[in-house]
Amino acid sequence: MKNWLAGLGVLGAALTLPALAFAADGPDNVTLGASADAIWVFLASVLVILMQGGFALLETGATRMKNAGHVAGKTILTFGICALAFWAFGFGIAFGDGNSFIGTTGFFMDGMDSTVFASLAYSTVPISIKFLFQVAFAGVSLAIVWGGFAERGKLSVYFIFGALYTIFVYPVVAHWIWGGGWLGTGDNIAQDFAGSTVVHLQGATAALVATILLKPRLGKFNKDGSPNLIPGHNQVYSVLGVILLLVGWFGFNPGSTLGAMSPELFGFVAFNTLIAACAGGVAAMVVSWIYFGKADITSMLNGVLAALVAITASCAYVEAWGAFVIGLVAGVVTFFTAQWIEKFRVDDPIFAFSVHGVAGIWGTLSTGLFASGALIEKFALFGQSGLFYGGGLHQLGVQAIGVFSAMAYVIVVSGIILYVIKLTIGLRVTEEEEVVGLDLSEHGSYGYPEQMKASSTPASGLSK
Amino acid sequence: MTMLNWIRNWVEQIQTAQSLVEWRTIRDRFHAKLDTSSFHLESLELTRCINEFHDAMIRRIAYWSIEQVEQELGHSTPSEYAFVLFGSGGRCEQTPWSDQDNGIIYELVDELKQVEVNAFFMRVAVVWSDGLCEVGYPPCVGNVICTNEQWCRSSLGWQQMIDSWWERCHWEDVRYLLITADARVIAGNGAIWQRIRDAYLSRVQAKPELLTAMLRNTLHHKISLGVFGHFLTERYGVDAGGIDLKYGGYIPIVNVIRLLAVRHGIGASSTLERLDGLVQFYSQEQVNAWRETFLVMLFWRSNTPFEIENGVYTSSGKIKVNSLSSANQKIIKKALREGMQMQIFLRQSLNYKNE
Repeated sequence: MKNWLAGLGVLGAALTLPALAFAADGPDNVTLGASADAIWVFLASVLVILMQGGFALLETGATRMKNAGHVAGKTILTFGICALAFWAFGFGIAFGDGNSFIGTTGFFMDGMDSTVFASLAYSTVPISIKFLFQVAFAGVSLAIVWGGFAERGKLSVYFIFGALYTIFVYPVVAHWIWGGGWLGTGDNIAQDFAGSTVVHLQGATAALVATILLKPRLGKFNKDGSPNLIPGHNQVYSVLGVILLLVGWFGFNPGSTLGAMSPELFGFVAFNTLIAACAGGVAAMVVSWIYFGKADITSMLNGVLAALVAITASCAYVEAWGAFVIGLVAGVVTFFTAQWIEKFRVDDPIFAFSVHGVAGIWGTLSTGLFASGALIEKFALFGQSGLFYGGGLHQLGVQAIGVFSAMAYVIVVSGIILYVIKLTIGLRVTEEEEVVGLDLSEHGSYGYPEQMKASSTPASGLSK
Repeated sequence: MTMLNWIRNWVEQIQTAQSLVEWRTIRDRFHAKLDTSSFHLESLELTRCINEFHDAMIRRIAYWSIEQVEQELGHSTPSEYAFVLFGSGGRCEQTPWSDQDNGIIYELVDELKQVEVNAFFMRVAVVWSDGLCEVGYPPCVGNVICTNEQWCRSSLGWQQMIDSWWERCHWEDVRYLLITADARVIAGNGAIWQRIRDAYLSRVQAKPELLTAMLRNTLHHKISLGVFGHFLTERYGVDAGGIDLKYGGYIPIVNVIRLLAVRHGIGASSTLERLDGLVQFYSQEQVNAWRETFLVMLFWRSNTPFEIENGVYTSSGKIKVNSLSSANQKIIKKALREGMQMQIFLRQSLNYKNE
């Protein structure tokens, strides 16, 4: 509370800048600038943390009533696990000084000492707020992973994999690209402004590995391989979830400037983010209407999210028309890959891989096409111009290496972790528990007691 | 054996049989023969063959149910009556797996005996419907069935009910009016229903705007073709990848022809007879094109896979696109495109404005 009040005080001070700037005993311009930076990144962190609410609603709405309490509740649980693991090890591995593969310092960070975080030194924001912002990102990545576990994963696996993903998977690739690693230094710098690859593609790839290892939900596919619809129980929740995520994304992308002293940059990033999101949503709705003969709400929601995922890497690098095309293509491509993945008998309950994976790949590659040299120079960004701006294939190649190496790393490491869990304690609840629903089998009470008790009496031995 | 002799032979077997068990056996044998038949039946022949069989079976069981109830209640039939078929049965377009859409109409000579007469025919309705169920005809899911009092009533009761539909003209009322337009007498005295039909057609002639309400009611059945001319297929379930030939092709086309026929006061219940009647109002060329489209849909609808589920014959009316040769896909697509044109023609000719 005190920090909040102090922050508000500083903001008030900033608003009366002309009068105070000349007062002999007031804060100087440098202090005020640093405060504005801190407030902006703090605000962005809050927005990104609020995205957890978006994931909770999106995922709960897209799954069945009997799992509602579990699906929503585990979002808070896993964010807690993620934050603790990131504080202990993840933040140091991602951003601590070390080698080009991992950070080796900054574990159990004290919230004050920023000396071993050279990769974040370009921003004047206190290390505590930088941590807040980065842990929110790790939390988003982990929330994406859970899409692949939906409606059949064991609760204990959320504890174990949540911690291990936050320590051994996410921060490693984050270090490569953002923490001074091999994809963020030298001549071949990958352009991933806010994390199409670091956050979304990593989460989605782990989700894909999980959903394959877990196998489809009971009743998802018929014997002949044809898929059945397992409708979510509340489309309104899903819509509200996407609205929360959309709003949160205005912290996610513009906040990645890690400072408020370049208002033109974070404003431009927000502008591109909006253009892409809207193009993706509209395009997905139209294409679903053409393809199915019905305008599909779920496809539209996926289209908005896919466009946001895609523009995440490129939001600072591309002009408005590029943002429009990137969002539009993401919306359309995701629509088709969602159908296509199902044909392979892969049950991805909330389309995590299509929305965050396929769009993450497209978004990362898109800067290799659309990155503008003028914008790179104007905003002092990394990397080179894309193919459409005379940069040739160089940046596209670097982006492709980024995508490939990140995916390969996540497939191998998360695959090993999940496979070992599968062999030891198991990934999936029993058939009976799945039928009864995870609310009852994992938590002992329904998310919707009035509705559920009337319609199903638990099988004997399951009431814990 | 000629086609005519072949079906006549089945009809004779039905007529000489005396029990539900025998009729069920005949039906199962008929479907087995039809299924593996060496007949290369054209669409029309196939439909006629199936319908003659069903008509004979349903009619035989109707008269049998009258006999059963007469014996059970110990008195003869109290008045004139007619057994009526709706839906595909009414249109003579039954498939091997058609369900029961039926009703009963009877004359009420003496008002004082209303309760007794009604009780007699309600009992007949139960025996007829149960009998049909045992022979493999599932009850109508929409409850358009003689055991529902709405569909088993005196001629006066029928007339009053239809009048109330016309007056209210709510969505459900219009649905019933569309169902009633396809009614056909299968057994009993056809003249009783004829009077109802005449009054029905006169009402539309006097008030053509009623047709707009009927059109509006049918517009929710969209042809299963996308804007790029691709099939709109099922996404999920055992029919995933299948086209809904029934509701996405056959029914919309039947609806167009029905409304055109009602508009012009044509009393026929079958689509083909309606088309014959329409020649007086539209060019031969146009009617021929409609007939060709209808026959394609009729044929393919009769060729969708069916199965026996809980003892009755059922089909989803859907066929998997990948089970069709590219030539057949082209034929079906052409018919569906023509169906869309027919819908547009009907809207324009009724001067229908989107709301």
